[in-house]
Amino acid sequence: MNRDYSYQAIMAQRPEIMRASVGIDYGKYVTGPLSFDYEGLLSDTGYDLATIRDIQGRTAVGQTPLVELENLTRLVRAVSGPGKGARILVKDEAANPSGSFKDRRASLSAHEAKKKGYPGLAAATSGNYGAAVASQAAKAGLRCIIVQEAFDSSGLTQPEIAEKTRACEAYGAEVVRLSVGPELFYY
Amino acid sequence: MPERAEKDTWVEIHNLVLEKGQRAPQVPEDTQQVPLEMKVKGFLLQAADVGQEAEIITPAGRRLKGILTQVNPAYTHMFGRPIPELASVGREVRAILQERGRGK
Repeated sequence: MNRDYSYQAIMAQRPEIMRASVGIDYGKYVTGPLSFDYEGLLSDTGYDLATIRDIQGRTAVGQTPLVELENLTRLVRAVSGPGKGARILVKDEAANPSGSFKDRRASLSAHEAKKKGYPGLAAATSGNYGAAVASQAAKAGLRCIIVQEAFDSSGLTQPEIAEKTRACEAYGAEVVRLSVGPELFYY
Repeated sequence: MPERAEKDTWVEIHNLVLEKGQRAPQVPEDTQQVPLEMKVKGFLLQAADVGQEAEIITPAGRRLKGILTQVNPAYTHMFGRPIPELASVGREVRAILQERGRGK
């Protein structure tokens, strides 16, 4: 029997894969035209905020510093009209292990994968999520494959993406770099 | 003389994933006309020459074949030169803060 590996055939499986793997009926949590019972969703999946904080804490994710940007606040007030210039604070998500807030999400996926006994993690991303997944996979002792959209037809790369390639490889992940197109999700 | 790399060397290989004409339906015409290419790094399973077919084992443990392109590839990305139009921003900001921002 010849399996159809064309782009169309593989992508057509996506809704079925989502249903089978995630198994969540999101409609259940829609409580109004603009409201969603997020806490209900979290608690039904077993990942309420206390559990999340605990899991993230095990790999030094989260609890990031809240930093007041005093110079920026003063600058804004120096050039703004009267009554303008709220205090500006920032949550320093770069303080997470792989350098971005994506660690928060990746740490839960890695936890779930390890719990279920999967041998590894994979992600299709040219951005920070790749480094986050590679970092969490390394911490959990899981294998990792990151697929990136990384170069154009003359082989040119964007430094931000090349830097993510380097980070993922440094964390011990296999990094598959593809030429431009949406097919990273297909691969 | 092609460069030869021994077994277990960290290398990069290149191959094609989709031929031209097999691309995702939504890509623009110029993208439809080029194949989807892939590059990946791993450790050589047997000695090979640059420009010839090689087989690697990746950090995730997959065995992949492709044309050997680079031996112990360097990271060559950089962030270019400073932007001249932004060069004075630091000085201007410090001046504003010193002269107008004090005491707030």
